[in-house]
Amino acid sequence: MIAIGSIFLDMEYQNRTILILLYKNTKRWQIYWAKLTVVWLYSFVLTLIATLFTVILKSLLVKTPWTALISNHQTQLFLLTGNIIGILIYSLFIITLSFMLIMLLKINAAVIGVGLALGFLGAGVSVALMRAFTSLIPILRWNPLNMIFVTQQLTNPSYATVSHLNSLEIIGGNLIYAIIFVILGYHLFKKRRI
Amino acid sequence: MLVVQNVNTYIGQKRIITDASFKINPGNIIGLIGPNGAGKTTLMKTILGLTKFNGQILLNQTTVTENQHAALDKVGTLIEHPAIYPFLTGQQNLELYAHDPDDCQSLISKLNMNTYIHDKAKGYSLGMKQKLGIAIALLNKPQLVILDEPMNGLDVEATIIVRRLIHQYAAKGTAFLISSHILSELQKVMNQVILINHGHIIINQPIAEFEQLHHQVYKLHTNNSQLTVDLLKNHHIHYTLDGGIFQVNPKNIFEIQDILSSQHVYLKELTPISSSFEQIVVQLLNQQRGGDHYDD
Repeated sequence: MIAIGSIFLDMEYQNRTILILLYKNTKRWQIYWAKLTVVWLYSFVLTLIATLFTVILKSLLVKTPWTALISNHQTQLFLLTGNIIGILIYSLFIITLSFMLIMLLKINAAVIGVGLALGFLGAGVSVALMRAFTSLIPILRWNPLNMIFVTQQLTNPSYATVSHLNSLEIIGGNLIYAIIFVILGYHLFKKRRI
Repeated sequence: MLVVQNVNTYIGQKRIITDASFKINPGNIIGLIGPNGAGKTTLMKTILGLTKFNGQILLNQTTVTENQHAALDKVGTLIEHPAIYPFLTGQQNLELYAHDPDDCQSLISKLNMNTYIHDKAKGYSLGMKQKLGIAIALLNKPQLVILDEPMNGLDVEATIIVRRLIHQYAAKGTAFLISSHILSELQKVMNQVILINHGHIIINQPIAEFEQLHHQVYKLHTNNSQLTVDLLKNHHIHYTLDGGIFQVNPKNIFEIQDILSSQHVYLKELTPISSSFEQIVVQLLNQQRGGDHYDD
């Protein structure tokens, strides 16, 4: 999603179509907001397709009912729902971040690099930092790299011992970061020269 | 229709356009001329409310600012490069902005784009993209069209078609502001010229008046070139010198004759010669760059 988000905004500058978008509209925030919404909706549709695929595979391959208790004494339905909610919340974080980064760095490859680093190393770095500086955990647990745990923690509350945030806190953290990224990204978008 | 009044444009802290003022009436075709970096594109972007500026821009009595673009609804533009989504066909690109499918189809036909309009734009040549960009600018019967180097990449046939289209639209009241480095081409369409250099508008005249005022220079040949140079310099008279032949401004010829005769320098030749549009522009730019200096 970080690659799609950044390409989706950057292509307007590469193809010069941003010029028409900007001069035909007075409110720049509408353009930024519309683009964010479309990418998030795209992510939503992808998640829906993945869910549908999961349901089909499960009905074909796993015959246990949705209400059957599995991991952590939770039903399959609860786990699936928790996963979907976690992914949708984290996609908000990652899409707003990608929009802000492309406005800041202006190079797609760099934004994709940051995205890959976040995906593969983010959680590990965050955990390592909190292990190294235990006294700073009350602050470090709010670091943006820690937010990725929302994708797992909603279905597996034991991750709270790793992220040091409860489910409500990690959801709030993701949403607050998304708001910060939107504000910073829009500010950069407004200032960017055409 | 468009009034630009005392406009100063800034990029960062740097002033790019200084105190620009001009008017465009319906049907006018204004040629915006100037060297690279003179501020032509910046001026066009300023009119479109895309830069930070002070002063006043009014389009049909409605103010245009960086945050007020309502008046620009009836403005079409092609600035720097055609604004095209490469993954869409030419037709789809036009449909994104078109209010009337008939208008869209008519432009496709007039610009001879029928054969490739349903192909994806990423496969288009430079000229095909340019024509599509011009079609987008001319969509929806605009009142004002701003074109930056519209003839870029166009072949002879397409250039003639675009020129004809500009005349047709102007006859119906559409005003044009066109910048181009191909002065001969611009000369064929414009009826008013704005010459800009270092962000200052130095000439803003109807083309007929411009040619009348600047079209002629005089060729001067004397029996003592060196003394002539000294005398012209001493009297701050602008000239160009090439192989012992001077070119001087018609307004100075009587003064020059008086000065030369008082120093017993005699004329071998003093004849009017016509300058091409390009030569006039270069001469005006040289004069503006040099102020009271001289070009040998």
